Order: sequence, then structure tokens, then C-alpha cells
Amino acid sequence: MSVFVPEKYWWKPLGPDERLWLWVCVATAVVLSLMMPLYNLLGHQNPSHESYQITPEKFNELTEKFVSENTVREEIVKQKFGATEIEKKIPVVRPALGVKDVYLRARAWEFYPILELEEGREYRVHMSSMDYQHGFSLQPQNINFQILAGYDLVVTLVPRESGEFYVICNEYCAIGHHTMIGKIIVKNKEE
Amino acid sequence: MASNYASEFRTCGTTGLKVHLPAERLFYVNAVTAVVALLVGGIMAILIALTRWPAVHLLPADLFYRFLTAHGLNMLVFWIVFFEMAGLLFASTAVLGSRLPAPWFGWLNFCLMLVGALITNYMVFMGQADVLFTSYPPLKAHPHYYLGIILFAVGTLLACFHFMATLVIAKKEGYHKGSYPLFTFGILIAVILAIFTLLMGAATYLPTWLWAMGLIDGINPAMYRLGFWGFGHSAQQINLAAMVSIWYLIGTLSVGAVPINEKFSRGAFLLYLLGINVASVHHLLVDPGLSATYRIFNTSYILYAATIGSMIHAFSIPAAIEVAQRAKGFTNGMFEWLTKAPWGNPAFAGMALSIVIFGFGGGVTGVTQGVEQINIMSHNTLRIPGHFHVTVVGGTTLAFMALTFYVLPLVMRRELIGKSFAKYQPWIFAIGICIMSTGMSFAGILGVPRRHYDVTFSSAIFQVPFSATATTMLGLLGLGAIIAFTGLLIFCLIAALTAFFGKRIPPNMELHHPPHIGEDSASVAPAQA
Amino acid sequence: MKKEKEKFHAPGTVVLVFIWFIWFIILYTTNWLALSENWFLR
Repeated sequence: MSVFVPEKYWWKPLGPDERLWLWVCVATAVVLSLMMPLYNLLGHQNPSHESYQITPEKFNELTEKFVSENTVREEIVKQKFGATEIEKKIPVVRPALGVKDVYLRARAWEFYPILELEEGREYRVHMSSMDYQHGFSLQPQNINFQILAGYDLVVTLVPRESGEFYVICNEYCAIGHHTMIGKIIVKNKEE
Repeated sequence: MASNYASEFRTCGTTGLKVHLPAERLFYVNAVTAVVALLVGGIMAILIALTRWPAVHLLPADLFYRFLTAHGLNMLVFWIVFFEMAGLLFASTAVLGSRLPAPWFGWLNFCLMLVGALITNYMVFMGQADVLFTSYPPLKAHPHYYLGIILFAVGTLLACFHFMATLVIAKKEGYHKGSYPLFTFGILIAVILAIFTLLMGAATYLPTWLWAMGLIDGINPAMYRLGFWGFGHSAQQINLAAMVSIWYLIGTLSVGAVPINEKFSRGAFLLYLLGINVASVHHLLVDPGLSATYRIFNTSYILYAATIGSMIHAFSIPAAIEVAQRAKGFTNGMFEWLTKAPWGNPAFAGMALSIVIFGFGGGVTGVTQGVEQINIMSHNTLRIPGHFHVTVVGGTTLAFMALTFYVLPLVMRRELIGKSFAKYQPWIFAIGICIMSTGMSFAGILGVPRRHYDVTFSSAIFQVPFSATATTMLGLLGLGAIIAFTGLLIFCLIAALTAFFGKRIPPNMELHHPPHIGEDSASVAPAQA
Repeated sequence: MKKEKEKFHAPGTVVLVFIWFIWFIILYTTNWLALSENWFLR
């Protein structure tokens, strides 16, 4: 019994049902283990394995440069603070033809800038944080990545549908966490 | 030598186990503290669950995050670890019939843990540590917050060494001969995992503490995450090993189940030990800074070793119960052994529900979401809490609750108050947790983030149009939480009333009413074949 | 020495664990299929 001393020699062969189940277990483990490397080779949805160390200052510089070179317009947004409502202007950035590297800066509590991408085009989205840990959660696609200060995570991404998509911060970043949200607009090639 | 301590023992009338009285007192305080932590964590749980239900949205934002911190700490750390400390004492002293080598040392550990838990809770409730359970830097709490956790961890580590010392003494002084019983073996695995885990915790919390005091400049967030999950995830494997051991124990106590093959079960425990420590990187699958090879090796080739372990137990425990039941004559058809099992016994029902919820809920979601690619769709969404509430609550907590229904009459020697409530408690709790976790998981699949105060984004610049289904799922979360909280309250009430006001069962006297409730319960200790 | 055919000593449990196994396969496969619909990522 499990609370009392086992027999002296408890090393005994397995019964037939134990053997059967053990084989099922081992086979499952092997298949499961093979799925990840195989999908890395053959699949189209894999987490990024490309990242660099970068200081927040340097990343900020790169973002500002990217924004100033590619901004197409500004979007005016409203935010409520209790009874008062304030207006903010956020640049909408559409990478020019041939520009592959896209920057998305996470800071308490905003994503900057608003990105305008083309359907079917490949981008290298650089993400980094200026302060706390943040989360990149693209909705409704439900694509999630972790954003850390000091690290530039490069996600190579191809949008497969057009429309407006939201980036929610899904890592707790102090009291304003639930107000942190960004936007990615995807256009058809013709638009 | 052993005879010097003979006066410190009593013999349990039901199980025939020899119980060392100083160990029993220590067991008592640990278990009581655990239930207090459970109650605090439970009150936090219902408040935050009602906040996440958009139709209710109970708390203001600052209290939501504060109570979420308190909920994580009290449930995942204080309730579970204090209960496990009681489990350690039981597995090393009562099961082996051994004495506790140094009761004063046990009290020292307990006091360290208690002081640590109190300091940490105080800092959290005073609003000095709104950093959530993970306390990811650069979020910074008051230094005492980290100090409390460190004190608690030191106490736990010392208790682990005390457990090891008891195992040595049990053999050396002749209290125990031969192999350790499976239950003790399982707890030993949990203790080895705990020692590794606590060292990892020290490597994470000590520098963070120094940083919070201003003695060092900064903490690398990626490094912290690696260290924290080396501690935080491995800690769940301690719970896993402890929970599985308790499943075996309740199987024995309730229907007299004998492990079908010791080699099979012990091998599975060994796989936990070998496989799980390194598997914690599945928390970092979408983090910057790690290579594909490392992630895949860590999560697959090692993780699935532990999965094999759990799958073996999933077979071996019901099989042991089936064999024991068939030996009693329940041999009709495929499932008479199951339908005629002592379902009226809350310990048996709790154990069975715990196995089902852990297996069908926690295990499958864990293995799926731990896949490198699938994690893209689940990282930090409500699917994650949806997963761990069916492992650590529907699994571990329910198993611990089930065991408590044996602990009260056997160890605390009190007759259970509210037996008719006890009968339904595991069911209420289990149904609540299942509904809640289903709500969480489906909301997460629809993209709802975890640890989020307001998914309507009413004070943000954009409002994400989450579907009506997602909102319904969050309502389901709230509803399930209410049911589970009811179950938790019933448990706490029964435990507290019995512990303080239950009719005393005199020591060394046979129990007239065995701990089983219900007529069809089997005898506790059938003669060994 | 003729070996007798060994019998399962827990046939009910074998059924139960295979029910679990099918449930796991369904869940695991569904997740992979859902993922493959998503945007291309690397």
C-alpha cells in the first residue's frame, strides 16, 4: 500500500495493460517532440528567434527616424480621464516601398506609432520597451510576444488580411496597464 | 535509543500508524495556517473574479492589481506550501513511524515562514508592492516585500532539510526498515525538487532585494524572467509531485488501493525529477533572447519526459483503485468498480475529481500551450490562468482539501462537523472551478488578456471590439468563481469548526466512525495478501 | 513451459485512459490547425 512498506523485492515486470499504456506514452512523447522542430522547418507560424541587445535610447532614436521618414498622416485620438477628455495626435506610419524594417516602441502606456502595412508584404517588426515589461498582443489574430527593455525583438511578419487591428499590452506594466493599446492598419495592395 | 522517545508517541486506531506527538503539533499549526491563507486568497479571488466580469466590474483599478498580487501569493505560495509542510511532516514521521529529529528546529522553520508570509502580506495590503505575483523588474516593490519572501523561502528550505534528516533517523534508529513507502517516496521527490527550486528562487529574489534597497543598479529583465520561472515553474512541479502522492495516499486510505507496480509508479516519479526542472522555459517561448534550439530542447525533449510521468500516474492510480475494488467483488462489467466506489466519502470524491480535472483539463492544456508555436496564440492571454486554475486549483487544491477530510479525524482526532456538507463540498468546488476555467480558456482563445483590469478599454484611446462571446465567457468566469468560492467557504468552515469545536476522538482509541462517510465505504486497511 | 495469455488486470482503466488520449489528440490537433490559419510569422 502506498502508506506502508512495500514488499522487499518490488522490482517486477509490468503487466500487459501497463506495457500497452507505456508504449502509448512513449510514442506520444516522441511525436510531440518532433512536432516543434518540424513546424520550425515547414510551418509558417513560428516565434521569432532573432533579437538584439539595444539601449532604450538607441531604440528610441531608430523609432523616431523611422517615424519621421515614413509618416503619411496623423490620427487624432481621444482619451478619457474620469470626467475630462484629452486629445492626442499619433503619427500613422506607412513604410515606403523597399522599407522592410518597422519599429514599434512600447512605453508606459502607449504603443508608438500606428503602423499602416500592406497585405501580403513581408515586414521585420522591431519591438522594444522603454521602461517596464510589456506585451504585444495583436487582436483579433491573437498573436502574442513579450517586449522587454534592452532587447530588440525582431518579428518577421506577413499580414494575411486587411482591416484594422489592435495591439493590446498583455503584460502588467503598473497602474495604467489597461489603458495601453495601439493599432495596426492593413491595406490591400491597390489601396 | 528509540525507546527514549516512546512516551512521545501514540498509535492511530484506524491506520495503525505511530504518530510522534511533537510532530503532530507542528503538523497542526502548519495545516491551520494553510487554511487561513486559503481563506484570504479565496476572498481575494472572488473580488478579482467579480471585477473581471464586465457586467459587475467590482473593484477600482489599484485595488484590482493589489488584490491580484495578494491572491497569487496567498494561494500559490502560502496555502500550498504551508499545507505541503504539513504533508512533509506526515510523510516523514507518521508514515515511517519515526520521531521528528528536532522539534525546535521545526518550530524555527515554521516561525520563519509565518513571519515571512506576514511581512509580505502586510507590504502588499499596504500598497507597497503592487507588482503582481511575478514582480517583473523594473516594477519595484518595497524591499520588505522581497525580504518576506526570502524569509519564507529560507524557512521552507530548512524544513526540507529537516524532512531529509527525519528519513535518515527513521532508518538509523530503526523506526523504519526496507524501502520507503510510495507516498514518502513521492514526497521525497517533491522535496528534492523543492531544494532546487528554492535555490533558484534565492538566485532570483536576493539580487532583486538588493536592487530594491538601492545597493545594485538594475536587474536584467530577461535574466530575471529566466530565474523567476526556474523557480516559479519548478515550484508547480513540487505541487504536482505532492498532489500525485496524495492521490496514491487517498487511494489507499479510501479503498485500500495498492500500487499495481511499484517500479512503474516510482519510475514515473523519477521522470518528474529528471524532466521537469529544465522545462520552465515554456514561459519564455515568445521572449527575446533565446534560440530555437534551446527553447525546443527545453520544452520538448525534457518536458515530455515529465508528461510520460504524469500519463503513467494517470493510469496507475485508477488501475490500483480498480484492482482493489475488483478484489472486493465489484467485478461486473467494465465499470462496476467505479460506480460502486465510495463516492459519498468526500476524500475519495475529491481525489477522483482532482484526477479528472487535472488530467482532462490541466494536463492537456498545459502540454498544448507549452508548444513553442501554439504558445504564440496563448502567451499572456486568459488561456494561461484557464490552464493553471485546473492544475493548481482543480488539481492540487482539491486534492489537498480531500486529504484534509482524512487529516481532521486521523491526525487532529476530531469528529467531522457538517458531514452532509462535506459530502457535496468537492463537487461544488470542482464544478465551480471547471466553469470558471472554461470561461477563462475560451475568453483567452478569443484574445482576452490575463491580468487586465478593463477589457472594454473605457479609459484607453481605442476600444477593442471583443465579441459578445468573449464577454459571455468572462461572465462564465465570474459565475464559476462564485460557485467555487462557495465550495471553498464550506471547506474552510468545516475545517475550522472541526479543528476547534469537533468532538474529540481520544488518542489510542479505535474510531467508531471511520473517516468514510456513506454506507458503502470499504474498510480502511484490508489484510495484506 | 507453456505461457498462459496474460490478462489485463485493470480493463476499465484502460478504457478510461484511452478516452483521455482521444480527447488530448483532438485538442492538440485543433490547436495546430487554428495556428496554421494565422498570419505568417518568423
